[in-house]
Amino acid sequence: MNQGNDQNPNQSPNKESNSFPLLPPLEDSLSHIETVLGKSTDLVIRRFAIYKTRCAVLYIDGLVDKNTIQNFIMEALMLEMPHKRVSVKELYHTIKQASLPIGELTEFTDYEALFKRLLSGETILLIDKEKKALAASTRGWRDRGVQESTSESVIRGPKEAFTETLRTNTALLRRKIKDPKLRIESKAIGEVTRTDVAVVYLQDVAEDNIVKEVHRRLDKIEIDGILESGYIEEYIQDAQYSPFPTVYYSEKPDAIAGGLLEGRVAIITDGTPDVLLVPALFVNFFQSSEDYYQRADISTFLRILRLVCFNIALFMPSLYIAFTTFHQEMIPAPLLISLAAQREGVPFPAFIEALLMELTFEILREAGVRLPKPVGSAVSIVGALVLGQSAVQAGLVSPAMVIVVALTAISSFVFPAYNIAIPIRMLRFLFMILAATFGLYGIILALIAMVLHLCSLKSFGVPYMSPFAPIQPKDQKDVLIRFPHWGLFSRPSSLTKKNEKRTNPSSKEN
Amino acid sequence: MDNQTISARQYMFLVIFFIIGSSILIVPTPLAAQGKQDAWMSVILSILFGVVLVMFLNKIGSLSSGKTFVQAAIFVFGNWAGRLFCIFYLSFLYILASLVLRNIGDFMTTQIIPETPLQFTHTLFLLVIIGGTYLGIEAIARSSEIFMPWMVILLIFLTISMMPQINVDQLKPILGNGVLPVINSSSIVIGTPLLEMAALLMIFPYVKEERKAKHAWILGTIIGGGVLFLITTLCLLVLGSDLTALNAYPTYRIGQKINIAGFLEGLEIIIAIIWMLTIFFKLIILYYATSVGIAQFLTMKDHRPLLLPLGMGMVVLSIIAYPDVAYFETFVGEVWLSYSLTHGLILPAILMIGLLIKKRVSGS
Repeated sequence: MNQGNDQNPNQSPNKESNSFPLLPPLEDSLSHIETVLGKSTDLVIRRFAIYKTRCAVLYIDGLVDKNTIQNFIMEALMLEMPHKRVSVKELYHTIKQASLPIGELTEFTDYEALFKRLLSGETILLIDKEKKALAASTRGWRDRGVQESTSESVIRGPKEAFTETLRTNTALLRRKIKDPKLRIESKAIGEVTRTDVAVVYLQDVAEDNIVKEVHRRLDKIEIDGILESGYIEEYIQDAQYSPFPTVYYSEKPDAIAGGLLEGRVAIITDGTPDVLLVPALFVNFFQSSEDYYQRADISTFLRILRLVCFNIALFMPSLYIAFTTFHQEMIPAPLLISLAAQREGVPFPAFIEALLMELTFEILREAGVRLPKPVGSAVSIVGALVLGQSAVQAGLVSPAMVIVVALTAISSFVFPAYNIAIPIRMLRFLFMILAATFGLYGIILALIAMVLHLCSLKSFGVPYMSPFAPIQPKDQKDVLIRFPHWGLFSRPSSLTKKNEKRTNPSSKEN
Repeated sequence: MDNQTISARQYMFLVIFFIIGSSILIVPTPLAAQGKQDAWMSVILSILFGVVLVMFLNKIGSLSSGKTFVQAAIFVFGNWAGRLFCIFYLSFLYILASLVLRNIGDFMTTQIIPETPLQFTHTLFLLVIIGGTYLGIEAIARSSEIFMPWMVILLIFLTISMMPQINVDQLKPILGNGVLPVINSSSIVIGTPLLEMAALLMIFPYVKEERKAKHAWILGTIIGGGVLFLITTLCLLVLGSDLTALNAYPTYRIGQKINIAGFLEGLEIIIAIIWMLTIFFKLIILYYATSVGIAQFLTMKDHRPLLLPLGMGMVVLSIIAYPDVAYFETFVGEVWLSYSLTHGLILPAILMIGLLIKKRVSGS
């Protein structure tokens, strides 16, 4: 842009330029920092002296808690330090050992650490002619606070959801699991964003090789920025070319804590409330944390209902096409007559009719997500009345088709995990095309192909379809049927072989 | 080849599917034609033979110690003689696979989608087969575990809903024609599918525990034979031996007879689904065996490049294999037994003798 750039390089802090030790003269050090940060206006440098030894406190405005800095750093250093001549080394040690009433104080010696800590909200203390520097944890920024979950609502059970702040999220998990074996291991991913990512697991429960594999995959990621856990998901998932999710995510601490107790590993990303959980099996997406809070019988019923809905959402339109186009003789006569009467006057073949309605629904759905709340009700009126009723009255589609599409649509909202509905939405169209060309034959072949694909998937070494394939008789207690809690005697054997026993069945009354 | 392994349970499921697949379609008609009302007895007779046959095949499996049929043959008879030997075996598998493909194609074009040309039906089916074979034996075996419960549920539902149609008099007089027709007609089930089980020698080495695998093979044969017995008996009980013999697809015919509360009818689709599932597994096992066998024959590291060309050939072969169903029925009745006996019994027997001699020589 202009030639001033040469003296004031606007470069981002990166490893190559900053991995050299601190410059002992204070002013040299400060000018280097200012150069690297490009005189950003949110950088605050407070220069002061402790009996003639010059010092500086640096922090980024907005990322820090100013009260802490005022009360425990500035006051301690400027008012309470003894006013007598001491050597720089001695001064440094006094400050480090005695003077700063701050919980988390770290020592570092190079600029890479300085920038990392400064930019993540710590306060840096530099002392003239000293090679070491101190960083005090003074993080404190505005966040949303723990609120009720909006995307995963429950009737019974905790309502709280994760927030955008990593530390709050780990605290939410710690509050649920007060075991010393709960491990939280952090790393920073993203060359530019340096996003904090925490790997959380229970050491005595999770398999070591799964934890190791999670770390290996996370360490492999080379990217400029991580803004959401979806970035990480796409890097660590097993099946890159599958519509089916092999990583589970949730924003509810109780769902993640439940996963940790089963031997899974959670990955918390700073900046997003969605926490990843691996390994994720196919059946996990049909299980809600609420299943474990309600009575066992209704949970079992709901789980079977969800599986039925999975099939309805996937097959209903294609079966309608296949039966009305190819296999009329298989429809009972009274139903066939009623269907034929409805379809009379409809100008399109069943496939076009279904495709039109399904596409309309997908459009409405996407519009409903994007539209501002006050306009949302308008969309539902347009969707229900104008498109539904009027399309039938205008003779564009048959009433039966509207019922089919409506049932399909409602069924695809039943699942507790949003991302399992995505492959259904996409595969539905493939199934419809096959139904229109090959009838039932095409549908069954597509089903077989889908099952083959599902059976070939793995999530962090665990077969995706387990405990159905390979069959694990012991694990069937918590898949379709949820046994009462005293019957859930062991952890899922496909996930972990360690510390299997969960409960003593005889501890129940009667 | 692949480092994949399957469990004994998965192997058993594959054996069950292998036995039911396609024979459930084509066996009841000739059985009823020859055995009349006693055809169900001949199924039991052939299951007994099947158990003995499996013991014999198990012996080969353990003698070849982790080698597939093709590898064992080359190991025993050397590079040239062994390969010549394998040509017979592999061509048997390939032709058998094409015939199985044609079975489902014939059924689909005559009963379910009459307007779709045969080659498209075959191509679509083979595409799924190729996809499955590409994924490997693990995925195939696992999906057999997914589908097995469904098949069991459908079979139970079918049997129960057939109950009102059953007429026990159809089985009388028991042994009215003497024992000879029973023994004669048992050769049908022996020819297809029991002798075809030699193909499973290509899969057997992938099973994790050999001892358990042997039990699984025997148990699978008995269960699969049991289902054949159930279906044949149902046909006889519902339709009677004459109608069974006249119908091209008697099992499909009995499905059409189901009527629950006057509303739930047309449930023959359940039978069609069972057939498609079982035939799918039979064909995919044969296809896998053929492609892996040819890959080992050519000492290729990976069987995957062979899948597409083999499939192209198979679509053509399955269509030119026989002109019409009547020809096929004569072929199954007169030629098939001796053909499958040669490749399903005599070839393995030669291999076993070779293995025994080889073991004796290398042991001393």
